[in-house]
Amino acid sequence: MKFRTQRVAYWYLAVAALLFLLQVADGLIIASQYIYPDLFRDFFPFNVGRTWHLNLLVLWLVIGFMGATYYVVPEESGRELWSPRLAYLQLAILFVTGVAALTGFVAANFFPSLWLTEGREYIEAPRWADWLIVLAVLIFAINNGWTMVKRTRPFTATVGVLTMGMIGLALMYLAGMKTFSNVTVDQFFWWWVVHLWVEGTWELIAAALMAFLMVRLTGVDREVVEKWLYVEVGLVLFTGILGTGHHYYWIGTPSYWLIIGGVFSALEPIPIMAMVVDAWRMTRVRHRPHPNPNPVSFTWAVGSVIGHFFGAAVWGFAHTLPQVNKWTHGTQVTPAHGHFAFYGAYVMLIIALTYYMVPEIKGMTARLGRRGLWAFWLISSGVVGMVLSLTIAGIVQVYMQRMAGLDFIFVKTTYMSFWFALRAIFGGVTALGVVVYVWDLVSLGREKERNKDG
Amino acid sequence: MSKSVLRSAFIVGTILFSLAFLALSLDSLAQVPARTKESNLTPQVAAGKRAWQAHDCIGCHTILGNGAYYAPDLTKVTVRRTPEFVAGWLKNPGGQMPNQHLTDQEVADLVAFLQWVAEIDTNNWPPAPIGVEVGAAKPTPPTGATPVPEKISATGAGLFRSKGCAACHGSSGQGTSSAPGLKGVTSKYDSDYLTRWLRNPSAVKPGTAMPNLRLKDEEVVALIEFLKTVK
Repeated sequence: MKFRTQRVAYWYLAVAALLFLLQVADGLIIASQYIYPDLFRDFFPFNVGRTWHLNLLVLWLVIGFMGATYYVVPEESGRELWSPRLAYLQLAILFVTGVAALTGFVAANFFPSLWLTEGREYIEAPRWADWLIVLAVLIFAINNGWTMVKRTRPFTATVGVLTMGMIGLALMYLAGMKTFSNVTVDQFFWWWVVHLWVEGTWELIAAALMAFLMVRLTGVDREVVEKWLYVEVGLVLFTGILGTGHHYYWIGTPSYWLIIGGVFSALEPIPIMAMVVDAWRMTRVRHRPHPNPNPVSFTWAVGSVIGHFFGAAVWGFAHTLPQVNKWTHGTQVTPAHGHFAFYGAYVMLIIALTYYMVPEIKGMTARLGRRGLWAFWLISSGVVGMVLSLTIAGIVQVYMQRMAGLDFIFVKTTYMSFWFALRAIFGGVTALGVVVYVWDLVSLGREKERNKDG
Repeated sequence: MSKSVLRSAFIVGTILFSLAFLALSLDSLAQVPARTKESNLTPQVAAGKRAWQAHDCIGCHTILGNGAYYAPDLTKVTVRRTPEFVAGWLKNPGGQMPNQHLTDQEVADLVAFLQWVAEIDTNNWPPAPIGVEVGAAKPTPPTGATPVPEKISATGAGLFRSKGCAACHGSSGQGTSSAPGLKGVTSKYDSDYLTRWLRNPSAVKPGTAMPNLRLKDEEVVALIEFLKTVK
């Protein structure tokens, strides 16, 4: 850590880890409801649990991105953050708004109202919560923006791409704040949020943060990393923007999207493959002696590159062509892809950043323990197990329901139930790993105390 | 290539692809009113959509294939069932669906909304299953070739599973909390009564939870044959 105010990142990353734990605990409940539909049916039914699962995911990933940004921007700008107090205020606004919205989703089960839930997945947060989130994002933009304006060294590509990604994230959120009576128009703009986040602007943020991390972890030449960064994010947007079309096949939009969406989303794996090649090249450099070897962060970072490739590129391509998607759309194939891609591209990256930044902030000089690697293998095997279970459940559903024409509920409660049970078991493995992760983060602070005493 | 060239390519390319996307979006939005028959989007349909959102229906169901995958897709539910059945079900749901305690107005609005959604031109999604229909002329296999096995949905047992009977009456007709067991039903009622019942349950017993499955005559015959075998 080069600047005192980078410490702000600690609380963001800690809150993110805590919300991650809550998200996974909630996931265990809804995975169990697939097997025991009557579980908590009266006060925490499936729809509430699923709304929690998605909103907690978005909330903690965004808080994690923001925390990492608060670490990166001062270091890359060569000066302290403009206002750490505003940064803490912003975190408080996000956290309180998040908790209030989650409480509202439970209350909406008893008092259905658009003031408690907007009933549109991922962005259920009602209007008042939207405005509070906008306020928090404005504080974030002003705080980092002013820090960048007052920089003492040249603007870097890493910060430039990160800034573009953050601006894009904020703009796309606005597209989801309006609802339309026409459900086709509603879903049209809803995808501007969901798709252009995860397959557009978030990729920019993630690529910039990955570049920052790789320069620190491997000592690779920054010039080369940043050249690749432009190539990667360029290809992400050239394919991903028109790739939105793969969500416009069946929702009432014109049929030319079958061709445009099919072609461009089939190209979406190319930038991800470029990232794999890039990471491969960077990890070769690592044999050079480097001042701060951090095998835990490095493992998570490499895991993220591999998970991103399989989850987003392979599992995404598998059902993106319209000829295939006609059968798989709306089946368990989608959540299989969703779990894998979110975990690989974003979850692992934020954990890698956390394992780099928190020890730096804590001033730890000793090597990290092995618990972070235990967490890596537990969570990763849990998620891969869940993904494979859901993939098989999805294939069974495609054959039995879509192709043979058997009834949805019948297929779900007979042929698919084994795979849902297996998913819940692997969910337990994942949750165990997340407990180890949070435990390790808490004890990282304590180890510092011990160092001080000794 | 130098970093500044790559940066310019990135920025110019992003602007061009964004403009192309915006142009296509404008064209799509101009075509949506016709493709969704927006002239039929009455205030009641709009109210139904608000009820759909307030009750977070998408937290379990999917519509146009997007949603939670936990409960059936409702894009064409008013065609697959009947509007009357959907209304009755919403008022008093069976199976795993919790009662939402909807008012009569909300039920009517939701049904209007779902009927409007069913008319959207979805490029023929969801696709029809590949099963052979009962009574359709079967191609005679050339002599010496292996006979083509009958598709699963062509038999009474297959219909029992594909038409949704098993969802309420249990996978082998043993009955569930939503609907009675079917053992001995063919000795209790004659086939004339069962035929009338299967064709239109609410005509025989108004207010029944059993939907009109819009069965063809030959499907009714096949199902009654199957019911004789339920043990």
